[in-house]
Amino acid sequence: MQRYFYGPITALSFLSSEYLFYAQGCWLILYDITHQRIINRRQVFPDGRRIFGVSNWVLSRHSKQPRFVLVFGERLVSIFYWKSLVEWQNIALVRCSDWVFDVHPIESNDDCSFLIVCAQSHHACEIYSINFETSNCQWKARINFAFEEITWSASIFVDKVTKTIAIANGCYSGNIKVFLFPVSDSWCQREEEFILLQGHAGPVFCIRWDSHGERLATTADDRCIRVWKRLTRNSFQQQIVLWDSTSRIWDLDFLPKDMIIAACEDGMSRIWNLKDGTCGIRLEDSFGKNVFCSSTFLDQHHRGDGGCLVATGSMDANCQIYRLEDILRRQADRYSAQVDLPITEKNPRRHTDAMTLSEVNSKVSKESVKSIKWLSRDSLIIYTDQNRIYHIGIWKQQEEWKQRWTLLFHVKDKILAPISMTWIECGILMGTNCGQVLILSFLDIKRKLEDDNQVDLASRLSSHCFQATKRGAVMNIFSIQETRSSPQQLLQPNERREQIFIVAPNGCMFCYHIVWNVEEDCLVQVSLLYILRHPSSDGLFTAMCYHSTTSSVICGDKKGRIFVFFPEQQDNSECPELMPIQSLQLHSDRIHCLSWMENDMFVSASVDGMLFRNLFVHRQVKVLCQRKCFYKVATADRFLKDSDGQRLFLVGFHSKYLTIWDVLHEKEMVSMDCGGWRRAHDIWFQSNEFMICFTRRGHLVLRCECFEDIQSTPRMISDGFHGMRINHILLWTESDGKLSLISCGEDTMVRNSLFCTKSNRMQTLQILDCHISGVQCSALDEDLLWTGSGKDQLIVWQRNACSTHCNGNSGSCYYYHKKDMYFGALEKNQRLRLLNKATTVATQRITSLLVLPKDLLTRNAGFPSSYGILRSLVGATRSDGSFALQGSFENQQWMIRSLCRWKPSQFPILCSDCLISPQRFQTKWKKMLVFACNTVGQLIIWQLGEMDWQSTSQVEHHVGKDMIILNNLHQGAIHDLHVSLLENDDILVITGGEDQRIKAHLFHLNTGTDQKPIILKQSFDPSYGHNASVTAVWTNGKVVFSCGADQQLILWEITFDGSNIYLQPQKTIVSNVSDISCISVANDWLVLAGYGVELVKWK
Amino acid sequence: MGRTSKDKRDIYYRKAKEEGYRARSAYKLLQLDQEFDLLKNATNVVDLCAAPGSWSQVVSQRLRELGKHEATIVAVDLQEIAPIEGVTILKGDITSRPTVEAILREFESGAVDVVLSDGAPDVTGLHDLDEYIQSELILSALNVATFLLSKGGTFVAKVFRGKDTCGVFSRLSAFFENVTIAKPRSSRNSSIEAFFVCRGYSKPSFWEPTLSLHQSPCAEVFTGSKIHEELSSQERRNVIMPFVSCGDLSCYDADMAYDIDKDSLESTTATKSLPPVQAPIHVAYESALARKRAPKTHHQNLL
Repeated sequence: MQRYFYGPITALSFLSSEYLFYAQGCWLILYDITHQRIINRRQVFPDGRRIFGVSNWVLSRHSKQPRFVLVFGERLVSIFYWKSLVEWQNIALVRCSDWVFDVHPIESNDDCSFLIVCAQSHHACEIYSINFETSNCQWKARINFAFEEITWSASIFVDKVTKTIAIANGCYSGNIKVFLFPVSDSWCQREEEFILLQGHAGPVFCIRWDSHGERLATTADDRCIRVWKRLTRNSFQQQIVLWDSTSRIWDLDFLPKDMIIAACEDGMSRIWNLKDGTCGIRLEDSFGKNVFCSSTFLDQHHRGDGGCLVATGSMDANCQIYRLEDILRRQADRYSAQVDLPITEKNPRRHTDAMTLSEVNSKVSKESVKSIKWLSRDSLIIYTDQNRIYHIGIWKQQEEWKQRWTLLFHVKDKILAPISMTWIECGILMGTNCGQVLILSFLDIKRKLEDDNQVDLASRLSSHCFQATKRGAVMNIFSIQETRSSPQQLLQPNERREQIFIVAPNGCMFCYHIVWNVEEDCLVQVSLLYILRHPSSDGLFTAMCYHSTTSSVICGDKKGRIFVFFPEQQDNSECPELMPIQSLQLHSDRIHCLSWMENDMFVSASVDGMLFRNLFVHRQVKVLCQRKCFYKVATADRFLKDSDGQRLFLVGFHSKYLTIWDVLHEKEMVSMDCGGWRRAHDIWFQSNEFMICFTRRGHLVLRCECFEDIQSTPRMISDGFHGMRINHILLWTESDGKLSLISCGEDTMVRNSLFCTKSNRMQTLQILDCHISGVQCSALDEDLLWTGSGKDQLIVWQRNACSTHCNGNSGSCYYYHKKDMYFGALEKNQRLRLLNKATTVATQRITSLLVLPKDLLTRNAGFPSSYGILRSLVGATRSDGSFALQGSFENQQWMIRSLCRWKPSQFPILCSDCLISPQRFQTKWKKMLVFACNTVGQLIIWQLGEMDWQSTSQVEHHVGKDMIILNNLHQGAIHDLHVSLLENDDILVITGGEDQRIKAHLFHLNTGTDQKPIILKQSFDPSYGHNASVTAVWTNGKVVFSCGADQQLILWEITFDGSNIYLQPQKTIVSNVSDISCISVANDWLVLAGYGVELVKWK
Repeated sequence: MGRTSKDKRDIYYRKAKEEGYRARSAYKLLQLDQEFDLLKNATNVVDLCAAPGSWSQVVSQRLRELGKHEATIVAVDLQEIAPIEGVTILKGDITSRPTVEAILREFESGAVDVVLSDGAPDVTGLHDLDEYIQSELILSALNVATFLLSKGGTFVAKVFRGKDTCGVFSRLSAFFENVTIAKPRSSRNSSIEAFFVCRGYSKPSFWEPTLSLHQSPCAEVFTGSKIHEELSSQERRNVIMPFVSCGDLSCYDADMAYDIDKDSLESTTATKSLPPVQAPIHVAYESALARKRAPKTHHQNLL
């Protein structure tokens, strides 16, 4: 049976600097670091048993230098002889007496055999001897130590010189016990001494010896790491306590150069320096997902920090590999400087020498920076709120930062205050409060810097300015130079022609051509080309990008709409006013930036942190996909592009953090604390470094981030999965052996992924992130996807079967956000508060969604004409026991309307299913049946028919009349049900409940005029079942699948004996997915979802 | 724990605050008691892993209602518990001999009728590990219970039902006539938590209470082709564990969010948030939190 599990990574071990082992469930995976691909996967434990540790070592005494792999976990130890990348010989599988927390090999006198020591819970250890030539494994001894407590962790160190074994055990109470005993042949049981180390509070989660057995690092529920130094054989002293993490630490490891790495619950891997106990490095690559393990590898060939690799594995099935050298270099290259603004006085006055600095400071007015623009890697232009324009030169001299400030110009007239800034090839453009544009030529700036008196900028500026808007300020100014590097049109060898766009507050955008004479460095000509007009007079353009091949202009406005303008659409009047040829409501908030990715593809980002990838063909914008790019609630600010257009970054900020996000690789590059509300910032990007300048508390802060490891460290990109439980999953087959998956996670994300059955590769295409709480359920209706979550939120997504433009996956589908709605009376501003706190309004969860046939249920009269066209109809069950009908309508805008709602149950409905009645049973009021189950073991059945949506009270009346409630089907809640229509008008309902039972109920459709639409004929309760609550069931009328919290998947066969129905268990599979929530079947494949997913080819 | 994204302040949380219980878990015991009449014939009760003490509160209250003023209630935990009326509080590790001896000293009058254990480890997110540690805790608690319980006594313990629950069930069955899994309606459906209610204690002949939890070695080694067989073998356990859902249909549902207005009709308290009934005395990560909250002595975020 073909199976593939994808879940949390719980163990890592480097084989060499090129290959890495990692463990998922009972699977051991060999990963090629350089080529970023999986080479081999092998099941090493029986199903459902999790691996907790992997290690490998070389038997050096033997002439062949054989390498062995040791795997341990739940009660099991597996030993492999490693021959080559594809050939691993399994020597033995040991089922130990108890859980194993560490395994260590000991070389014995015999060349081809060795011993392994397995540290187990209950302070015991077992010893086995292995002969690899005869592939023999034997139990040698079990040693029980005194003083019992529940053991949570253990670590073994074998001293080769003194031949002593030291086992350190971490206990539930926080005690650490080190047991010492000699390596011997007899392994007789004796009362051995132990050393008790006290200090921790709460269970000890991880314990680790360093490579020489001189130090012991431990971590516990009290969130600190304690390092104990061994003084003599029998005494330890606490060396240092490491603090930083306020979340629990699951794993730790010693690094060279006196450092320690720890994998923390909050998704960070922290590195401490043991010398001073500071946590200098925090690797934030798991975005809040539990990091379960970390591993290090010291390259034998060049020892030292140069050859050390570090890997971490997390809950979201992602492992990150770093080169320690790179981490440290990044740390060293990351430099920052704080720069004070030159003190300027409002009213020049003499200071006496006696005044202290603080007195001086209190006398002068604080000037603050309003805008910053980098000109090159070492120079930037700022203007302040007192309208001074400065040039700052910044360079590094040895270890120190040098700066030079030059006041370029002081705009004394407040009306002329600059409020927007951009640059073109020859200079800086500044838009002012009164609608003028000033041009500061770079040559002038250069001459001014060389000699202050050489150039009279004031007079130069007065000739290099023009009135750009008739009325109002220059709100925004864009140059094509900045948005896209396109070949220059040269008029004459010495003339430059630039196109700039100027936004006025009255909904206009002016397009100007500027002709600049390079030789004489002066403005030759300014001509207005055309005016782009926003459809509404108070509209404001906030972003634009220019398509040079068609000369179209794409603009975004403050309300999230995208407009396409095409200059040749109108008559050749002197200065045409253009209206948009297309407008599209894309974002729900202000669009901050637009940028081209490829020729016909552009990206747009808005204030709410949402990013859209769009296609621009035939002068039409088509949405490809959407995602949220910042994990925190952040505002997208601008795109950064490197010169060859290969890489694109998005800069965003939220309250006090500034974040740079890699658009192509979809990950966060830098996130930094600006120490207060950011006012202005700008970032310069070049090959591998970011120069970041931002303001903080009246200072300018300059920071440089170097990324040597962008190229050098291979990483698995977007291969991760949900970091929390998956609540619902949809599976369907696509052509070419590909399975499409839509998974809804407790981490508020919906993932659109693709599983290739040939290569066994899971690939995430998209992360849909619009929910404010865990996503509970989803349903697919042709080209629309519905998802429902806690906090009563329902979202409909549009599906685009799309071309090669997104990551080159032809035939796969992408989704984008169409509309969302909230039940109840929640205001927009209440939603954010809901994230953390309760309000007086009780919000329910949407527990299941049913796509209903919209044509079948609509009576001729239909909907009020103002509603528009009904695109999709769903029924949503909620945790307050209500059932609501929702329609998504397309008028000019998309709308989700609540059509009607009633309460069939007093208790939360957990699951539902529906069935269209066979044609001959259908009457006006009997079109389909809906089945729902609740938390008290009731099955509720009602029918839906042609509805008159104009009067919904009638609908509720009809439904209530024929409702059937069957009590006590199960003890406790019914977690899942599935319905199937059998032959001879029977209906099979399978239910799975909290009481560990799965039951089959056979109903018969009632043809008579009797009010009850269906009659229960028989219930079957098999005498075989699960060991924990049954959480998911599925049936097609021939077979039944059930799975539960006991991780078992049972395949049942349905047999009929006359009119009686029986379920026969055919096959039981223990899955690796814990806490299974959902099962979905598509042809030959089925998928189980919970903490991870498992795909099974069941046929 | 699954479909959990719901209002943290659920109905039982609010009710616990209103009625002065230290935790919402109090209702779980109330509902278990309603179903099984655990405390009706009890005078001596031990609450293991008792912090913050809500179960002891319920026991003390219930025994007073039943008029058993001579009752002895002992609450034990590693963490400190604030005083509760009518309850003797001990601080100690339930697996260590001094603690067991201290408990036994409290019951000079006679053996214990009911042993309760609502303890759970800090969940890690890896279910296998959580379930394992929890079953270890149950077995430790059982070990203590065999010292204390009189014949016919009752033992209640929290369990996380998972793939190995059957093993724990069969062990408990050796000590008790009647073992049932019960889930009170105040325990969320989305949680894997349930309770073993074990009634009719009788000490098996092979059992001698000891504080040592040693397991006899039962290791098996598979080599050669046996490995493959073992890997593909199916573990079949066909034990049907009895299951009971406690709490009648009139009580509140733990998975549902109720409007605050609705339940304030019953009590006169207006919708204002109540302070915690009993603040925690000491938690393991106290110092870690204190360090985080303390004002920074030197500028840590100076880039």
